[in-house]
Amino acid sequence: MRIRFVLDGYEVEADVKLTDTLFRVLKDRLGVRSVHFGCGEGSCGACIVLVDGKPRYSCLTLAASVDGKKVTTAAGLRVDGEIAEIQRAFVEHNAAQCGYCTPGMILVAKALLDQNQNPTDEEIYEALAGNLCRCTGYVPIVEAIKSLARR
Amino acid sequence: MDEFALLGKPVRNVQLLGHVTGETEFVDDLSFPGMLWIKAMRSPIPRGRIKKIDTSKAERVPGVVKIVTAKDVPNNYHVNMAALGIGPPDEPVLPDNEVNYKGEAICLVVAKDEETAAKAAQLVDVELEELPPVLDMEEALRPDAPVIKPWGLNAHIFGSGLDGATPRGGQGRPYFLVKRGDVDRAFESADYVVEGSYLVPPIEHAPIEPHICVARPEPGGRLTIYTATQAPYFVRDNVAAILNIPPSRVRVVSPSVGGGFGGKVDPEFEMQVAVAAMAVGRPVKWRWTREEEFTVSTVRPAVKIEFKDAITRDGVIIGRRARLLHDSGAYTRTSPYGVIKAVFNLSGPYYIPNVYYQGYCVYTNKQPSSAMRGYGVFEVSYAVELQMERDARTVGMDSLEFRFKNAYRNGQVSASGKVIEDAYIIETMREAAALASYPLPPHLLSMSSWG
Amino acid sequence: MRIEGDAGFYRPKRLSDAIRLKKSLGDKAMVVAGGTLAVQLLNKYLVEPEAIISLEDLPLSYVKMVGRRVEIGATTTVAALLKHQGLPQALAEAARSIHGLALREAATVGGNLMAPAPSGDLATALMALDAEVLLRGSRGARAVPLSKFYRGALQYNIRRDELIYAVRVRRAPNFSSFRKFTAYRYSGPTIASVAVGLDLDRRRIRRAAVSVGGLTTHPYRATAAEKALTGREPARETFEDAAQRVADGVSITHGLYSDAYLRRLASVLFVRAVEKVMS
Repeated sequence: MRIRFVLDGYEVEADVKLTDTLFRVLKDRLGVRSVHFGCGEGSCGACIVLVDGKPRYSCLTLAASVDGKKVTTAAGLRVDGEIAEIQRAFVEHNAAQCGYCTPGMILVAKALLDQNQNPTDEEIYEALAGNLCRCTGYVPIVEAIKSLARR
Repeated sequence: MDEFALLGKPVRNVQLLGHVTGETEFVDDLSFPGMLWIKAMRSPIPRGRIKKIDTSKAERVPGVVKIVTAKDVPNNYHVNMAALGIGPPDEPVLPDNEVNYKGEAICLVVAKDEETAAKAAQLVDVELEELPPVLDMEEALRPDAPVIKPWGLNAHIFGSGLDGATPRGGQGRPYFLVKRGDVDRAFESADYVVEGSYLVPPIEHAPIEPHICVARPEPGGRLTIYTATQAPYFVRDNVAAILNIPPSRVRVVSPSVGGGFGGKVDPEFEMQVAVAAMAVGRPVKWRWTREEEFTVSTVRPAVKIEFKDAITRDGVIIGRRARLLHDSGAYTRTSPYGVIKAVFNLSGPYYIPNVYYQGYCVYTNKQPSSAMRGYGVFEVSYAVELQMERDARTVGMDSLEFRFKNAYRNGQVSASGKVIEDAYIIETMREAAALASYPLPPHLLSMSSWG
Repeated sequence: MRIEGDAGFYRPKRLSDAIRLKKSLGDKAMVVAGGTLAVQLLNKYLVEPEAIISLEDLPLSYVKMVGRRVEIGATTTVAALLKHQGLPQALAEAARSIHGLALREAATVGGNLMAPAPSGDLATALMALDAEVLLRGSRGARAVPLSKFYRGALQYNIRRDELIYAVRVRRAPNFSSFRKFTAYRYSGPTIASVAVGLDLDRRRIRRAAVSVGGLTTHPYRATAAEKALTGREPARETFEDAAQRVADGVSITHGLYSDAYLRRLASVLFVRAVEKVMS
């Protein structure tokens, strides 16, 4: 079936199979770089996108479900060509090493701060529990998020 | 530090911008026209003889292009560091006779997409005669154990040039040996003898990016391999060797790696992908699942270390015997190198004049092991430091003092015969104690690495 | 009336259409709510459905609270649930214990009722609140107590033409709580969970419900512990005695941890769950 959706501000169309996941379509059909395969079971978070503003595992989302919706990846956060505040904070705090978990991590960090302007450490760890990182040990990521907290 | 442009100054990782925008390129981003996908049919048992491979049902699945088996491999047997003299080549690209670990790929299905390849792989029927596996290192070394290597021992032969560290024609031993001084005399004159046994389990690297590889045949019998690897030259050498082509015909491109930690040091699957690409004459891609990553990809080896220390009344270690077992799993790969490193480090950063260290590279019917962060040394450090604690407690000495007393000094000679030139352990421990606000007594503060 | 679908993908907007589809497609169709478990089966090539019925467009995302009565629509996500104040405490604690923003946006209450261990935290909490599963099929609607909903491992009291449309707590008890223990501090699978629902005053525990999750495929009611609480004084000894009985008569089916450890863990979680009323 043919689906149409907005991806990072662009209107895209794709022919998808019934059982295709959004991840499969983004990565293997559309060649999107800003989602990554890590587990296929919603544990690692490397595939996370925003669907109509809400963080979702693209590997657990059926492609057919996003017909008519808005999908955003870390690549789509720029405003007037400038990277978003959360992205700048990650850069400044060295909150990435290999970069594979980063696009998903960025989106969940952003979603957290959109809901909660002053999260505690515990709230940050709970919100990011579905994003695994094997490189940084999480501390610089938490620091980056805290640096944006508005008291 | 002011006269330096970079030293002592914070420098930003140039990749960070690409990481936070998701623009950094990884292997999985690569796709070529006509590209096919690979899935493996894997052995369900740890050891067995292949009686029959029936691919007829799998071949009939629409979209399946080819099923690759051992007969498609020009030169089936390889070992990772052959270029450094390690041998013999004990690992098949695809098994032609026996399988030696649960999960070993028996054949590859190459199909138009991942789903088709996966479904067809489920339809391959393999008849295996189960053989008794060896799953424990001590059991593997017993004389009555089933033997899983053609040279008749479940251990790598060191000392005869096949370990990359010793000359050919030397005496072969089923262990790597480092000895110095007279360890028997040391035990005779010791006031304390302290024994300890330490086990380190295998550890899975679990990078968020699993093993992913794309191979593309090029004109003139060449091949480009795009793979997330920590060691492109290992990939090149091994791929060329099994394809029987000169290494100059293999180009290896490694984009950003999504975490390796040593788990992407061994070429584990690039040879298989290369064979598949050459067999079908088209680009092929293999994206490992997380399950494959856990159960098939290399792990840090399980290691067992036994120490026996001879210590004087004053708390000086005058001798050490050590026996180390390193679980290589089913195949050699890089393990001899790991064992050699480990054995050379069994004294830790401490001076022990009389030593006798044996390190075994043991084969078992498990997923092959390889490097991980501090290969060969991490597990030894763990055991050494625990042994130091045991030693200190037996002698009745403060364990920090025990370390100060036994730390290397410059000018001493290590177990391997090297004159120590850059020892700084005492000063480092002093610094660490100061940073931890841990008060040291004056006689320790006055010690130095220079005498 | 034809229900619109594209290559086997259905997004019915009315519950009656969803039911009709489930009845006519039977085993050929996979029903998907949030997809946290169902879509995994697709990723691992374990199932090959000819059709998919997605519940996402059904008007089943709601939370209705009237006094101590709560009704929650089956496709309400954990994220949506957490936006509501005044939920029975056990349910609120269970929902808060589900970590990861992306998981909260996908996990649904209905899906959680059907999810086997280590999932099913909401089911454990709801069971101690004496919740009922509200089902609707081609023959009408019915309510099944959650404690009677599980017939066996992955076997539910649900007919082929029925869908869960909501879960209802008729009257939340005046004290409830939920505690779980996971493999890691902020994440990881639930090893065990305990939920307690008590109607009590200073002198007596009038009604007690204790449910345990993680030890078996689906949560169970710890009736031996409940008997040791009902009618008794809410004193420390009463609770400590009941704690010893939370795994009585249960055949543990967890694969990764020992029987003895899990029994002890369940009793520790029970004590933590009733800490507030013990003191």
